[in-house]
Amino acid sequence: MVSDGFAGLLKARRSRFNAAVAAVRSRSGGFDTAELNRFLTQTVDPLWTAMRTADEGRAGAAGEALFDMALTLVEHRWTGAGGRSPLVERLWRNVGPELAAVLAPDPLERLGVLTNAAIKLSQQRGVAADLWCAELARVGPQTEGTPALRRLAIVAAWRAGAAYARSAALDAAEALPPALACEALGGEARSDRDDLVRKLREDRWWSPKGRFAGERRAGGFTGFGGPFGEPPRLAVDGEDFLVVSGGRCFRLEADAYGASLRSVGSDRPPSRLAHAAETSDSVAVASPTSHFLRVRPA
Amino acid sequence: MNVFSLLSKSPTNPQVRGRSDHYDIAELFDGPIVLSPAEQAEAPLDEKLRQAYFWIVNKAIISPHYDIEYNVAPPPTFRVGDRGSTLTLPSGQSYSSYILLPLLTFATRSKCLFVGGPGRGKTASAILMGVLAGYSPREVRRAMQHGHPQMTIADLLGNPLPADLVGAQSMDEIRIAWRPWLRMRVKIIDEYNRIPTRTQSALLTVMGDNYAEVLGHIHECPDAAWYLTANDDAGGGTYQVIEALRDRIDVIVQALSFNPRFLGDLLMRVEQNVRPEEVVPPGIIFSDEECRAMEAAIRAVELPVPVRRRIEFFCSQFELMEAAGEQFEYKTKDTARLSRADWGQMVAADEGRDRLKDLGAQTKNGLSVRNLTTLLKFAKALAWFRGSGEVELEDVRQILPFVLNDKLHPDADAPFFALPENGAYLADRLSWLRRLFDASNEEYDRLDLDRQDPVGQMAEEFALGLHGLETREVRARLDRIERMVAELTRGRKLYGPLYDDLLKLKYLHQRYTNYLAWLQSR
Repeated sequence: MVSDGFAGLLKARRSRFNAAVAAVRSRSGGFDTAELNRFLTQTVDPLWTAMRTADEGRAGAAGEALFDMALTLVEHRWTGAGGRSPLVERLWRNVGPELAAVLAPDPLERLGVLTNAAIKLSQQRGVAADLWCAELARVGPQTEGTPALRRLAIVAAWRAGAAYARSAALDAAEALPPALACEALGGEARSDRDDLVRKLREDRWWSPKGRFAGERRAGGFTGFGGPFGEPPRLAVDGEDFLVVSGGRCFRLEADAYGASLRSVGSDRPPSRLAHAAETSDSVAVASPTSHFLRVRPA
Repeated sequence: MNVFSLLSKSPTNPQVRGRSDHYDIAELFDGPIVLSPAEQAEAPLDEKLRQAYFWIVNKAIISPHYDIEYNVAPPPTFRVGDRGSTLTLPSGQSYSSYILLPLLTFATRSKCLFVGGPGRGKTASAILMGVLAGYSPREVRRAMQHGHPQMTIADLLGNPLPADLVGAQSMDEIRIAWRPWLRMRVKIIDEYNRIPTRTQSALLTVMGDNYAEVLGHIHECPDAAWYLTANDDAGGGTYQVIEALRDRIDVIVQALSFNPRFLGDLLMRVEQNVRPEEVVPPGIIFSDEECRAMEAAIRAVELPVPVRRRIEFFCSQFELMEAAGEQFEYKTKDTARLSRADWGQMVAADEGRDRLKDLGAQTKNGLSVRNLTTLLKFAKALAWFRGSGEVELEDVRQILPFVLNDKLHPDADAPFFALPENGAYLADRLSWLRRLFDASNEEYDRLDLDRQDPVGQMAEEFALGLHGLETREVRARLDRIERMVAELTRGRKLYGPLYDDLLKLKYLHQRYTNYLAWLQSR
């Protein structure tokens, strides 16, 4: 059952919504209208209701934007029990209502940005997507405008384990209001933002909770969804590591929050490969009998 | 959000640029939810044009035909029917000429003629091109000129103001109300073959020289892409189109038939009341500045010498007609045409060569400088559209039929067309032109001209300049030219490429002779 308000919205825009569904059905033969109904009822309705409560004047436009996004997500099977990622639905259900006031002025851009990021992060090994959602719900209500929300999403992604986003996240934090930036970086709201960012830049293994002393693990066999077809070998490239496995080349980045591997062009593979490599602040170790790599502070 | 106005964010030609090690955090926000263009990085112009192409192919045109075929590996081919027609499934990104050629016309600000039966979307496609230039569909429709038998020059270009006509003491005082379409950057002439001959001449001035003239007053027009439509370009209009006007048209594209397998899409278009020109995504609209930049980028595409040599060799095939003139320079089909001599008699007198082997025997004319200019421009445009910085032979092969259609006229009485397997080429000119180019390339390979081109070497030597050359060296070069001419003419039949080589050697000989005379006079 949908709420009375949401039912009224659907009724008022019936012809527009029906036309949009018809257009999607005509190009996607297997479009699941039952799943659309479920998603609208269980997920979109509560979110829209929260947004209407936050900003009554924009409720109509917000409803249209949510419907269009829902249509796209259902069409591409990002929702539901058999969907490609449960994170999208968790974002809309758990985080969306918390950010209703932030999202309401421009749901397509703001929720769209977060939804696309959720889809990206859900496909990345080593990223704690639930932590990302929790950070958005915790700090997100303090943001104003789409650019700030994007910056927060980047910082939260980095702290959830997307080590490749470290540099971009620190740039983003510098562009956020000081108190918001400190909270987003895991510090006290009263901290000195610039000092915090400087420390984080200087030492990749440092965090406001202290210096990381453990070990990060990355990789895995392609047969089990990992990136490596054969045990990898390493080389140093600046402050990072290049990893080669089965003719493919990856960049390994690791820090206090996680380790990530990014496929890079294989046109210039490193010539000197080994099972262990060391940079000024990190040591990475591979093994001829394992598809995983381990990285720790030097 | 209208699903028809969505642009795919996937790269339109992923192999164009190599994968980069550089990471852009903006990738985190790429996903199924289409964000506003302001949130996305501006695409390079070639990518933007490809986005326009794919939007039109996938959203605006219901039934595209992929007749410009590229292959990256041997494609699967199938023989069908009693005549053994070949169906190819291209292994590379291939294109629909009906969409690609108008877009390349837009990018190069050239002139495109749409031909085909009524109701096949010729005018609709032309209107789309106007919208891509930033005009509203209403503006484009209002500015479109519809050819009709009563169309006067004033209808086409503009009227003198009536008050001025009465009160003016001189022609200079008469003001002209120019038609708004003359200011457009996309000009559309619908059914141009229904325009009376006299008005066609006025149109020719605008098309050819980019200005309009009424009562001695001149209106300069901006550079523009032109789109003309005709239901039947083979003389079936109300008026015969004057030859000069036809010659100004750069490319001709044919609206192919509708495949009823796409009726479902047509039904949806009807039910949704969607008009593609009304929902063109803002991301594929080009400003005037972008159009200029696009044209400059296309001009900068390189045409490698080996490709240029093959174009030269191909063009050399057609102009020679040995019996048409006595003097060597006048042995051309153009001489025969200007003399109005009987074509059949001329052909009968032009004996001595194998008319089945001679590609020149298949045509009634040669190629003009304008044709060649257009060919080079569109070959560059196609290469640029495909994301390449230089023209490949396949680009020339694919674009050539559309540029030379209606420019190179087949001689239906040629022995080539009498062969049963070649009869269809008289109707299917595009395939005939492509076959001509293939045959020319086969001959080029057989002669091994990539490695053995003594005339080319002499031309390169000359291109280095005459400055500082001593008398002895000039004499030696003259002697080499004479020996080469003697060698090339010894016991050989005269075919088009040899004719052009000999004329080139004559040119070089004359330049060295003049230089020698100057050296001796000092």
